[in-house]
Amino acid sequence: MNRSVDAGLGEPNSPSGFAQAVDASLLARAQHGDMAAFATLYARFGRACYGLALRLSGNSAQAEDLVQEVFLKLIETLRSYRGDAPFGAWLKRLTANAAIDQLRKSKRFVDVDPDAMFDGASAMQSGPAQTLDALALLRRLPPRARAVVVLHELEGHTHAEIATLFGQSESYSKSILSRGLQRLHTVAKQREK
Amino acid sequence: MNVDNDNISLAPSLRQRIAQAPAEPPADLWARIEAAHFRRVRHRRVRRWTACSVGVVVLLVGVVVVSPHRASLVQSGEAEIDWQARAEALELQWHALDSKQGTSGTPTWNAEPAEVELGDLDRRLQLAYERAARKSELAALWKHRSELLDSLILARKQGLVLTHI
Repeated sequence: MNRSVDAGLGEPNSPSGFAQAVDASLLARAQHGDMAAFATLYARFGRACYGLALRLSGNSAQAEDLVQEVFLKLIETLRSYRGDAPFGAWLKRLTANAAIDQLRKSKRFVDVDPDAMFDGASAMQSGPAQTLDALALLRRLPPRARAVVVLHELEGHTHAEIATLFGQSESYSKSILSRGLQRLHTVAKQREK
Repeated sequence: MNVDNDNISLAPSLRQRIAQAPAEPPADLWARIEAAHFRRVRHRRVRRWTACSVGVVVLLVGVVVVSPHRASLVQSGEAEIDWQARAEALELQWHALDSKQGTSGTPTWNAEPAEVELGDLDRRLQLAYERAARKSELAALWKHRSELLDSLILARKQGLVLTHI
């Protein structure tokens, strides 16, 4: 199942998100440390990268930090990119890994037990005055559940991939996804009433 | 906990809402990234320069400390010669000549004065060992002994009387 919606501009499989092709010459220039080439890469992929970071972190400040971290890492590691995977897919993986690393570092990642995780999440709910947009919906989820839902439902990751990213089992990923989706649907229905 | 989620997935409308949510990075984000990159590069350069400077200082200190010691070793290159081993080898050579002379009949030279000096030197060496003398003192005695044996051997070969060296 591949439901990737290429979270960038929001258009499913839009060529303007991570799915954009990149000229070999542009990559070669960037691989030689040409900052103008990196600026071009940012102009093309910065928004997709920020979109994914925002969905995964649920927080604009964290998303900005993530994008900064990802592009700094890109500048330093692009030389090691061999082109085995499309550049956009590579960058997307870099972003997901950075977001999960950030989750690991934060105290909120401590709750490994799904029950404890979802019980604690009630405190993270938005206030009644807050506009419940799509991102606010995601913010209703505990950080790890949000990441699992985004990676599986929007980015097309398999449970095996998510399990590897989080260092957990596939059944754990399935369990978190199931509970996360139930929570999202419940909140969405409440808003529709 | 094992929850079967095969039948549950994000409702298409919800997926679309989330996917289409506006996500516009701040306009100055790239400028901040670039500035952070140049800051990192500068810090790394400073760190490298500092490490190089420390390395050079350590090297210079090493040269300053080690050089005089090394120079003194070079100057006293003789100290590196094993005078004891040399003296022992010469003694074997001398005894070999002595036994040869003994079989050939009339002695052609008189080594008595030098042999007395050799005996005296042996006593001094013995005393030096007993009072745990410094290596340099022992080396000087062994050197003296080597030189005396050298002279003895040369004199015996030439049939001369050795009185003193």
